[in-house]
Amino acid sequence: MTGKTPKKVTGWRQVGLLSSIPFILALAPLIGLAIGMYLDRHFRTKFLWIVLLVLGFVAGVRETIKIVKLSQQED
Amino acid sequence: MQTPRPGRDILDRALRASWLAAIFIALVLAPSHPYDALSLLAGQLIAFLHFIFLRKIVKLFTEKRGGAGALIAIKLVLVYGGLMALMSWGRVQYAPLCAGFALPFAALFLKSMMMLAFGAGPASLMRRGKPAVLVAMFLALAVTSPARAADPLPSTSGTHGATETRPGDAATPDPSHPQPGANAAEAHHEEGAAELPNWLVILHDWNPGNPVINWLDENQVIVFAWIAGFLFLFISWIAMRNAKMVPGVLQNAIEWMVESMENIAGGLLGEKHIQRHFPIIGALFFYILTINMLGIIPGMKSATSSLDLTLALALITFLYVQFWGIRNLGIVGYLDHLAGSPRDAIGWAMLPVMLPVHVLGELAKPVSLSCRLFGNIFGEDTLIVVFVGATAMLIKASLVALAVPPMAGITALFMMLQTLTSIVQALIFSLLATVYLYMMLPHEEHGPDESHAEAHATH
Repeated sequence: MTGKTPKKVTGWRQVGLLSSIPFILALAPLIGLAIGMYLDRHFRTKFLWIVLLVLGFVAGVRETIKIVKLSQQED
Repeated sequence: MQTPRPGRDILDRALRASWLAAIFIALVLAPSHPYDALSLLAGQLIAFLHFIFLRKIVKLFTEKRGGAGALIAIKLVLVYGGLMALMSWGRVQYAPLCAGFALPFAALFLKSMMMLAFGAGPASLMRRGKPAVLVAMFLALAVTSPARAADPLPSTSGTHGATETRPGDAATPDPSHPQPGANAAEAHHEEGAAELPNWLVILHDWNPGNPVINWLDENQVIVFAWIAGFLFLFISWIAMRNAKMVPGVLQNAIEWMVESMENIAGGLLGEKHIQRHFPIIGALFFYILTINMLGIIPGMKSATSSLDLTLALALITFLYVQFWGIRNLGIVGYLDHLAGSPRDAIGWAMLPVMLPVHVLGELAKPVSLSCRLFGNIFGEDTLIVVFVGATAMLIKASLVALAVPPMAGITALFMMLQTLTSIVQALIFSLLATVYLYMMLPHEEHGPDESHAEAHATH
């Protein structure tokens, strides 16, 4: 049953994956910022938001690289 | 799709398109709001740099050469430093800056959606249609822009962002609502303005005092999600009530849908895992599909046009994926995966950085899923509301014969588009949930050129 996966489906999956790149790129730093601001308020610090913003950005790039690789293999 | 690297090709064209759009909008804005135009262009430039550096970084990683550190540092300094400098300048407006920053993302997203729908970008349509289409588009822009300035629908966009109530700052005095406790009612009123009235709103207007109706009205999203769930169960029950070897029409249709979904997900996960994981993937697909389709029926509402429900769905996916990650890797293996599998001194030294990066990455995936689903369905709903509102306005202006037929046609067209969006978004949500699961599950077949980073990606 699963042997005859149509070629069209790989295209859909690829487009689905690739079109999630902008979301992940934009959202990962935002999530980092939100967590950082919460931690700042919690620990009464001032710098955590920028640290987590940058980490979030790194995470976004990492996920993007993963996604690009994943979309280029096996089709 | 014939190009060997569709990702890069799309990116190039999307960037070009976003530059064209930004320059066009900036030119339109320039005479009246020069600083807004400038901010827009600055935002576009920052996003553009973002992408350029990103592509360099991706190339570095995929072609396996070292020296990415300097590039990332340059990128951080240039993009974020520039952003900080711009913001401290004071003249720059935030809204156009953000709009400019969002343009390439929007272009990229549109491009990929168009590729999905037509197998080609929007430019190919124009190429086929010759300059006539372009002229028509500019004419349409010229005709609609003065109407936009008059803004016949103040309720759709104007008040929405400004008076949005957050649970955190309920204490701040706001002259627009005297009782700060009435958050839910307030939120509902704003929401009601940007949506077509559904039967709950009508019921509420008919009998505003009834506590049951009030409760139903305040929890519209839940009510419609339940309706969709029961509808889905009911249809499946009807279809499978007395299943036969030679299926009837409904049973045939449902079996076909389930089987094709299983094929799609099974092609990705493999024969072994699909047996175990198909129930949740299939349930996600059909549930979202039912919810989305419900919104097309007049008087009903798609519950997915609320971020609450899509976030809940994403949370379920997230917990499920993490649960299977822990179950397959073991608790130690799972923590090791989250820490980036440190094997040497450098790995352990990077632990404080890699751990939050992995956690953030795991979080970003489901949130991006839910935001995409919410954005698409909400956008479609809003589009239809705007056009129905415009039709109502034309009727009020007694331009019925002249204007209503094209408006009705456009609305019908958008409704067809909504059907397509409903299916596509349900499919994409469940497919990407499958992909995230696939990243977590162990599997035997690895490519020959498996790098270190890829080992993380697929384990």
